[in-house]
Parts: sequence; C-alpha cells; structure tokens
Amino acid sequence: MKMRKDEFIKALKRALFRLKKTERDRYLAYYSELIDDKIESGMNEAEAIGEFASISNIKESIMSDALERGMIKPKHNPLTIILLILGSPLWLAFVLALFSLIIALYVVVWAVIISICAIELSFIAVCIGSVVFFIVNMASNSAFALLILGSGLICAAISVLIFVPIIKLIKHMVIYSFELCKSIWQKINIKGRELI
Amino acid sequence: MDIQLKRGVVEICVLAAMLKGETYGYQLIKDIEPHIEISESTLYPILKRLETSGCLTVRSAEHNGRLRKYYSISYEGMEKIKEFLCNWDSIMKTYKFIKGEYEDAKR
Repeated sequence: MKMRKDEFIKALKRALFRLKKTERDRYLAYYSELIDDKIESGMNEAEAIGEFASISNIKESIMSDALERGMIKPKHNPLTIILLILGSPLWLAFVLALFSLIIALYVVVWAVIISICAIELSFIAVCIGSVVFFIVNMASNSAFALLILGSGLICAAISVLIFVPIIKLIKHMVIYSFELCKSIWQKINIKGRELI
Repeated sequence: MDIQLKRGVVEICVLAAMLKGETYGYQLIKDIEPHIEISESTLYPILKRLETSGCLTVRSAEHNGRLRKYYSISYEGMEKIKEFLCNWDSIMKTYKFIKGEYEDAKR
C-alpha cells in the first residue's frame, strides 16, 4: 500500500498512543526527518516510506524499548477513574456542548449549500417561466411579454455565469466539512484511546 | 547473533560512524547498514541510550528550511570504542578456546 508522509505520520501517531507525549513526538520528528532526508536523496514519498518496516513492526520495536526505559504511560489508577466518574457532570456537559456545536456548524454549512442551490434553481425557474409567459402572452401583450422574456434571459445569463463557481464552492465546502469531521473524529479517537 | 551482544556491537558501530565527524540519522543508517543489520526503529533507541550515557552530543540545526538533528561523538564515546577494542581481544581468546574445544569434541 502506497502511503504519503502525512498519512504515515498520522498512522504512527495512532499506533504509539500509549507512549508518553514527549517521547511520541520525538519519534514522530525522527521519522519525519528520515522521510525528508530520503526524499532529498532522490526517492519519492512512497519509496521512502516503503523502505520502512510495517507500522505494526515499528510499533512493536518502539514499545519494547519504551517499556525498558519507562516511557509508557501508566494505566489509570482507581482514584483517576473515581475522579472521572465524579467529574462526569462537568466534562460530559462540556463534551455534549462541543458535539452540539459541531452539529450546528454542519447544519449551517449544509444550509448555506442548500441556499446556494436554491438561488441557482430559482434563476433557472424564472428563465423557464419567462419563456412560457412570453409564448402565452405574446399575442395579447407583446411589449410586456418581451420585457418578461428579457428579464428571464438576464436570469438565464446570471445562472450560467454563477453555475461553475457554485459547483466549485459546493465541492470545496463538502470536501472541507468531511475533512474537518474526519480530523475531529481522529483526535477524539486518539484522546479516547489515551484515556483507556 | 544474540540480541544483547548485537545491541552492544551496534552501539559501537554507531559511535564508530561518528568518528569521521558530525552526522545525522539517515546518514548513520547508510554508513552502518553495509556492515551490520540495522533498522530505523532500532537506531533511535540506541542514539537515545548513547545520548543518556553521555557518549554523544545532539544538536538541532536548520537544513533546507527544516530542522535536522546532528550527532557527534564525545570523549566518553571515544573511550567506549577504546574499551570495546580492548575487550574484543579477550573475547577472541575465549572464542578460540570454545571453538577448539568444540572441534576436539566433534572428532
């Protein structure tokens, strides 16, 4: 499997969640430096990472050494667990508030996307409506029908002009919102595993 | 090779690779790999141990817009190599004795 540098570092970070933070950061910096040096010597990212052992093998090697040097985080003692339970009304409320904030953020993002789509559709609808109005009223009130047709064509022009930027904007909003969701989830996952 | 013995030998190899001058992680691997099996994940703990025991010094310096760690052998590191070379003579004597006894037993 071909991996990019950032993917490899993230995977390694997840694998080393039991290490003390300072030690984990040192390892990540060490591997990051090695990848950069390999790239500098003429390899591409995938080749540089491909030369390493698998993440699980690296983890095994690092963890066995960390165990010897006392660099593994101690498991939570009963007192910590009791404090976590007692403090749950406080931190649980905070977590729920944070979760609600993220949900609200997503609702806003999607509301904006839907609004933009509605604007584009309304321009198209006005254009179609004006053409129909022109055909129906051409004989009885040609001047007014022409005015409506003209305004409809202006709407059509606007809808054509804003179509590509809207598609791009929606695409970016969707990608970034999913990326944000993914990174938040990964952070929660790492923190959650650190607490275990 | 026995893990403990290999670990000790690799440590000396790492120090020996620094005798030419200040070096960095990837260069160390390239210099040592032809002589003894070493991987990235085994090099880091060795560097850490040697740093803790005062056998080498580490400094961070900017290189092409990023930070790179440079390792230099210290006086203690030189002494460790000297000690290893002295001990190796007695190890070779022991080796010859063991081999001789083994050859005799096989006959």
